Amino acid sequence: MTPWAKVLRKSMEKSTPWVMVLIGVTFMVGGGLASAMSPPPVVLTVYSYDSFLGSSGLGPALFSAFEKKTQGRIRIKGVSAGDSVQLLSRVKLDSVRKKQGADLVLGIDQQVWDRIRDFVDRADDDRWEPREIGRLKAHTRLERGFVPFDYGVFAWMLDTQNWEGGFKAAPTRWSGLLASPYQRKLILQDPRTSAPGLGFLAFTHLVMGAQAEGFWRSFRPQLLTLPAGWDEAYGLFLKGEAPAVWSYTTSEAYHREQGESQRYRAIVFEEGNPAQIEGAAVLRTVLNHPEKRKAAREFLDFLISDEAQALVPLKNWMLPAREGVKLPKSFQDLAEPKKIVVPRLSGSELDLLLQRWSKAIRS
Amino acid sequence: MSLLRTLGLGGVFLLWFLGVGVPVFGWLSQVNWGGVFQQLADSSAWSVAGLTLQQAFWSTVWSALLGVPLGLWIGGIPARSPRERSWQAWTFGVLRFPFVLPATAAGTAYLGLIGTQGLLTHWIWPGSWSYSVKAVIFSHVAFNLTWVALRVAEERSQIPAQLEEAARVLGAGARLRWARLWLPELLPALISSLIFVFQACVVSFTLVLLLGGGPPVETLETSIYSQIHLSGGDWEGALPFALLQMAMTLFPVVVSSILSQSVFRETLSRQRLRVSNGGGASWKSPSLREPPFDWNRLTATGVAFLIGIAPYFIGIVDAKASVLRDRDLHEAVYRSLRLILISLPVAMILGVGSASGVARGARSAQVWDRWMARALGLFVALTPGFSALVLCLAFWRVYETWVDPFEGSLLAIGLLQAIGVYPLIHRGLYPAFASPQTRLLDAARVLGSSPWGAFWSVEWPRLSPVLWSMTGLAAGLLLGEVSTVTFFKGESGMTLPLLIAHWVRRYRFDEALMGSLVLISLAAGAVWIIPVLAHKGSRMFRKDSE
Repeated sequence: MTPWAKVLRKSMEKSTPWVMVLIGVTFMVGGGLASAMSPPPVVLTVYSYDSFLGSSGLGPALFSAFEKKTQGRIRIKGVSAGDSVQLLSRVKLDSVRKKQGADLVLGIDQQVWDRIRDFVDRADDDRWEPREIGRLKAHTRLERGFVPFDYGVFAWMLDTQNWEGGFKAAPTRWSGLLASPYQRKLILQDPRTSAPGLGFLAFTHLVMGAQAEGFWRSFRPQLLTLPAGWDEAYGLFLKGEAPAVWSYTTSEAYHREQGESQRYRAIVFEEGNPAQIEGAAVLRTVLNHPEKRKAAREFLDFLISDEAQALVPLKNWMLPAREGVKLPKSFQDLAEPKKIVVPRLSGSELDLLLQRWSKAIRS
Repeated sequence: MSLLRTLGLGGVFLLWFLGVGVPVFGWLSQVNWGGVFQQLADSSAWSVAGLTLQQAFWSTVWSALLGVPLGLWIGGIPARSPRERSWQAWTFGVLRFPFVLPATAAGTAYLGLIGTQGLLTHWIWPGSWSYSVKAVIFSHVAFNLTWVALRVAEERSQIPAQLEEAARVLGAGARLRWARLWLPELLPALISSLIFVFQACVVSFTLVLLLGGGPPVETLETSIYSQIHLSGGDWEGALPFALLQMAMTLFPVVVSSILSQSVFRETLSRQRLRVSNGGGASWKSPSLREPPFDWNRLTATGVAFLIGIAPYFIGIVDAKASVLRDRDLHEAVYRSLRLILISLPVAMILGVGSASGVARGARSAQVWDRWMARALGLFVALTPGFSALVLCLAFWRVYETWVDPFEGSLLAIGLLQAIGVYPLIHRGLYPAFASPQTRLLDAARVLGSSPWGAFWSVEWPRLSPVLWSMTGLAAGLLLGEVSTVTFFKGESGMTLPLLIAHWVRRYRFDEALMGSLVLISLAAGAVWIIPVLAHKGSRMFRKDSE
C-alpha cells in the first residue's frame, strides 16, 4: 500500500463515524424541511352513529382505505354521535352555537334527511355531485346533497324451526300475517324509537292508505312485543321468544356466514317491502373552508367507488348502493321483493302518523 | 366538629341544588305552560298515568306481602356469636344483591324465567302473561321484595331479645307482641322501604320496556323516553308525563309523613329506650361457646340465595370464557371503575351528610337544625321522583354554556350518578345515625376523651359496618348505571353496560353474555368485597392507633 493510500485509509477510518453522523443529520434536516414544506393534512370531522364507527364497523375500514388512497393528504376523524336522532340534535346544536363541529355526516337515512337538509351544503347555484353518482341504483337516489352508500330492505326474518309449517308455509301477502296461528308470534320495533319500526309504519301507511289504521289494530294481537330498538328485538328473536322479527333481508346473510343458512330466512311480500337508504352529506360548515369542502367531496367520490362499496356488505350488513359490486357468497341470492318502496315523510307528516298509530293500537 | 358539620351540610345542599334544584327549576321556568296544560287535558297522558299507578301499586303490595314475612323470619334468627353475626351479614348481603344489578341484566334474567321460552313458563307461568302488565308486576316484585325483606330483617334483628322475652314472661301472646312490640319498631323501616319500592316502580324504565311488550303497556317513564326520542331532545312533549310522575312519587311521601308523625315520634322514643337498655344486635357480647349448627339459618340463606342471586345467573351460564381476553372488555371495565372513583365519593358525601343531618335535626331542640332536617328529608323524598332522562336533559339545558353532552363531561356524570344513588345510601344509613350511643358518648367525654376520640371509640365501630356495606351497594349500583353515561360520555368511550349493548347491536351475542356475567360478578364483588376489606382495614387501623 502506498503511503498516500495509507493516509487516505487512516483518515477514512477516523472520519467514518463523523461521516455517518453528517449523513444522518442531512437526512433528518432534509426530511424535516420536506415535511415542513408539504402542506399539513386536511382533517375532516365526520359524525356518525355508534355502531358505524365501532372497531368492527364500516367507518374505520372506510377511513383507513381513504387515507391510504390520498397518501395522508386527508385525514378523517370519526365522531360517534349516538343514534341518528342524536346525530341530528348534535348538528342542530352545533349550528345554534356556531361551532365548526362536523364537516360531513355519515349514516343518515331518508327519514332523517328531511330534517337535516337545511344544514347541508347544497346551494342552488352549485350543481356538484359525486363523479360516479350515475352508477348508483335508481331507488337509492333521493335528491341532490344526499349521497347514498348503502341500503337495506326491511323484511320479516323467520326462525323456520319454530314457525308453524316451516318456511314453505310462510305468508306471501301482508294480510297473511293476520291469520290466527300467528298471534303473538311477531316482534316489531316501536316506530317512535326505531328506524325499522318507523319503516314498517310508513310503508303500511303508504301502501294501505285509509285502511292502514284498521290493519294496525288487527295487527297488534299478532305482536308479542314492541321493543325500543332493533338490537333488543333481534336479541329476543334469537333467544327464541318469537319465531319472526322485523329486520333486514341481509340478516339472512349474517346467519349464512354463521352456518345457519337453513334456519333463519327472510320473507318478502307480493305488495313489496320498504327499504332504508343510508347516505352521507357535506354540511354547510365547510362553506368557509374551501380545502375542507374539496376534501369532503373527494371522500364522497371515494364512498361510492367500487373499492369502498365492496366493504359495505360484511362490515355494515347492508347492500351496496352501487350497481355491479361483487357481493360475498352469503349475500348472493338474498330474498328480493318485486317492489321496493322507499317511504319518505316530512316531520309533521311523521308526527301525525305516529299519533294515529298510537291511538289505533290502544283502542 | 360543628364547623365540619356546617361544611358537610353546606356541601350536601350545594350539591343537591347544583344537581337537581337548579336544573329542574331552570327547566320549569323555560316551559310554555299553555301547551303543557293542553297536553294534560288529553286523555292519553292520564291513561298512561293510570297504568303506571296500577302496576306500581300492585308491585308494592306484593313486595310487602312476600318481603315482610321473609324479613321477619330472616331477621328473627338470633345472631349471638361472631360466627352467627357473620352468617347474618352474608345473608343480608345476598338480599342486597338484586339492587346492584343493572336493570338490563335483571330484565334479561326475568325473560329467562317468564318469557315465552322461560323456565317458569313451562311449569306455572301462563304464556299469555308474558310481555304484559302482569310480567312487569312480576319483575318489579322479584326485584324489590328482597329490599323490603332486607329492611325488615335489619330492623327485626335490632329488637333486643330481652324485650321480647320480658313481654312473653308478662303474658303477651304472639298477636299482642306483634302489635305492641314488633310493629311499632318495624313500621318506619317498612313504610320507608315501601315508599322506595313504589317510587322505584313508578320510575322503572328498562323492566317495563323489556317485559311489558310495548304499547299499550306504557308507563310515564317510557312515555317520557319516547317523547324525547321522537322530538330529538325537545322536552315540551315529555313535560306532562314528567309532572305526573313527580306528583305520583311525591304523593306517598307526603301522605306518610302526615299520617305517621306520631308513630315516628313514638318509635324515636323507643329507640332511645332501646339504646339506654343497651339493646341492639351489635352490642351483644359474644357468647363464650359457639352455639350448635342451626338448620333454620342455612335454610334462610338458601331462600335468600334463591330469590336474591340464582335468577340472575340462569340465563348466562353458557357464556364463553374466551371473551375475557377481549381488549374492548378490559377497557370498558377500566372506564367503568374509573367513573366510580368520581361518583362514589360524591354519592357517599351526599348520603352520609343527608342521613346524619336528618337524624341530628330530628333529635335537636334548635329550630334551625329541625328546618335543615326537614329540607334534607324533602330532598331525599323528591329526588327519586325525577326521571333520570329528564334530569340529564334539564342539566344539559341549564348548564349548556359549560356542559356539552357531545363533548362529554365527567363532572356531570359524577354529580348526576351520585344524585341518583344517594337517597338509597341515606335510607340505609339513617337508622344507624338515628340511634347514637349518647350515654356512652357522654361517659367517654366525662372521662376526658375529645369529641373525636369519643366518636372514634364509641360510634365508629357501630357505624362503620353499615357505612361500608352502603359503599359497596352504591359502587355496585354505579357500575351498572346507563342513562347518565349515555348522555354525557361524549367521546370518552364505552363503559361496560354500554359495551354490552354495543355487542348486541353487532350480532355479538356471545360477547354480550360474557360481558353481562363480568358486570354481574363485579357488582356482586362490590357488594361483598368492599365492606369486608374496608371493615378489616378499619379494624387494623384502629388496632394500630390504639
